[in-house]
Amino acid sequence: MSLTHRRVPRALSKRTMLVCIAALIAVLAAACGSSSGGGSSGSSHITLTILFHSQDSPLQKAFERQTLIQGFEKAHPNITVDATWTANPRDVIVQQLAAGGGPDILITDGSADVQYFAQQKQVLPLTKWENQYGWNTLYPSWAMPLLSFNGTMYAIPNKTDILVMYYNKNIFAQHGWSPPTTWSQLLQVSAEAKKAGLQAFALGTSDIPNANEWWITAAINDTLGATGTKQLLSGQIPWNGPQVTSAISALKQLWDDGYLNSGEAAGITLNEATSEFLDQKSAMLLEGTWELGSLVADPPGFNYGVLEIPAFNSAVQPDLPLAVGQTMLINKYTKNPDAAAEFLAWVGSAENLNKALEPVGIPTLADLSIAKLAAVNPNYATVGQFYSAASSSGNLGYASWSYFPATLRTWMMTALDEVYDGQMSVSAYVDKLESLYQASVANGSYTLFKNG
Amino acid sequence: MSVRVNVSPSVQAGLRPPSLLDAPAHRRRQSVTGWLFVAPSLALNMVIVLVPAVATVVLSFTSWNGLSSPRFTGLDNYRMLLADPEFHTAIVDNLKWLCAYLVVPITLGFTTALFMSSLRRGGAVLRTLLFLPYVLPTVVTAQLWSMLLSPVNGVNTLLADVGIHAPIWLGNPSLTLWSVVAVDIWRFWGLVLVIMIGSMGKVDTQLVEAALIDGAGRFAVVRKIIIPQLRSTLALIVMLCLLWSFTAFDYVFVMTQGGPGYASQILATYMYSIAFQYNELGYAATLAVCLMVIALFVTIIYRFLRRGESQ
Repeated sequence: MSLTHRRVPRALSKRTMLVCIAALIAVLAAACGSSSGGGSSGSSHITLTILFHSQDSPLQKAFERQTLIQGFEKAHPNITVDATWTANPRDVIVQQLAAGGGPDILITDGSADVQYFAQQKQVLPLTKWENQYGWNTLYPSWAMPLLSFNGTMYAIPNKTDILVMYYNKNIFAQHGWSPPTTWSQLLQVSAEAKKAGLQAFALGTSDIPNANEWWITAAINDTLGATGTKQLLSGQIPWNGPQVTSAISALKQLWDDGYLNSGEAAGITLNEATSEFLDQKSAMLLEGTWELGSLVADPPGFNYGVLEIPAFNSAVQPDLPLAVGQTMLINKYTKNPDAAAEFLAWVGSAENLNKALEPVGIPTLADLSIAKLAAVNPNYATVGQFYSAASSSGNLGYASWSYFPATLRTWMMTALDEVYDGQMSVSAYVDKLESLYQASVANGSYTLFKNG
Repeated sequence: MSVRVNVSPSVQAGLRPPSLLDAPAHRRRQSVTGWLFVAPSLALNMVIVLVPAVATVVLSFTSWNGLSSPRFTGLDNYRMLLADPEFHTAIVDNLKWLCAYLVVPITLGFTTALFMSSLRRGGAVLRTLLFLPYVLPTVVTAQLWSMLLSPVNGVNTLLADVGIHAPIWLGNPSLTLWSVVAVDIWRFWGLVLVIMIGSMGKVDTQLVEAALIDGAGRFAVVRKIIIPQLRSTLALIVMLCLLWSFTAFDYVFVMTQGGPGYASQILATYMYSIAFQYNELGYAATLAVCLMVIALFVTIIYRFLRRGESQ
């Protein structure tokens, strides 16, 4: 057979190539063109989308999966909840909202983002459903401004965070120390802990600096008191005035005296600091009530107790800094607002918030039952008593992650290390706080206490 | 049979190089087909590289929080950049990073490659071991190093057992940056080593032997024979060091978050915090443009070095 008679494979003709390219473009367009934000309202079956934190504890993930999602789907057979657990849902949500999409239900850490999303008109007001689901009476009055923007409700709360001090009862008993109730007692116990070769307070900020903001929250609230802190946040007291200067100076003194993880805090992680407390190398730990969930789920090998942070000076009553720890909102781009509101009502119901106590945190309920808290763990009951007492005496405080301007908050927790290291003076630090506060008010990004 | 090709008289006269239009018809068709094949990836690159790059430049002249409509602010962001002390800290930290990157991995890689080129056995095993850190996931190694350098769990506790009081590697502002740089160099220098070993295989050994016979010392052989032959490799490595020292992010982000305070803040982590913690995407875009300009500058340096080589 001669090679000249053999059929040689030909190059693709122009027409074939164009058809291939057109087909490829059509396939890509079809793949990219799928709608975001759940199913269509036109169909009888609805799909709602939501993002959860992948860092949630296994207990919390199980609660989210079984109680919140499967429980809701069982009660609403025509609705499916398509949940994704992702590392940083907030960043994903912001990017998707900017592109005109995003999940139907938005989760925020703390309530600061409620103001942000509402101000940017990215979420639906809950006015239409507020009375229907009784949200305006279900949640405590202190929480409502945090769930609202300009007087309109936009979010439901998932939990309340309260800042407290944990202490190792065994260590305290062994050394004959009493739980401190005043600032001078706290300094005395800290000094004795140091003398005994222990860390007074476990503190770690190398991976995330949030432990710094817990200390700043404590210092400001317990130097200015509840009234003074509100005046500070309303702009009636300057951030660079003597009160805040005194609060930050007190922290610097604690650092210099070696009571905050012996000055090693910036070199260790938050988890390592918690381990220091759990390994009985430190006598106390300043942290939120979210830590109680871990301590109850996985009890340490010693007795521990919960204390209110004492007032930093005798002129004020100690207050109880608290915040709405997590909220849920409805994306303005959702095609199924009523179904989304139905889901919010399910998550934010008294029944499910009470069930969430152990896996998620203290429920944000007007009718917070101490008996229900005690049923889980006596330390929860102690926190419930702090809350009741502070609530009735007007001493509910203001945790930074719910109440402080966002830019001020981010800067203050990062730059505190510079004050500790002596690279920045306390006066320069508070001056910057004042300028950040004024900038946040001037550019309209901070409106929480606009009307006092 | 001879093939006759029509070439323009100006090309024949050597007045200009031949262009596509001068080529015969079948060559032009081939070229068009080539462009058609390249077109999809070119279009994709336009969409995912060029469009965002142009958008970043445009955004750098705006104030934008990520959700509202961007507001044109002219050169305000650039003025703010010049006056921003944290940006200055970040640039200085990047320059420190660059200095360490230009000296340590190249010196280590070159000397180890020289040593390994004389090894008769075990070279492959040693090369694999030294290259291993480069292929391990950065986040995992960053976490491991964080634990190793921790004052409560890491090497410090071992040193304390033998009576040595080690510093707090990641908590001391004057040490933090260098600790993270050291970890990044630990990961990176294996790559430099492998590239160097590859290039040294191409060094003309006859020249080396001739020089040694003529009485040249080992240092002179390295300086006058080996290094000149590695010039293109060194230029490539210098460019990689320049680029990577300014785009470093992961080790700082995982190990220190730029802290304590701003002690280990570099451009990339600062840009991230401005964009996603402060929600100031317009200003973050300005920082990104600054990084783009640096990358462009580095590319020009590289081309300059390569041009010197061809001359």
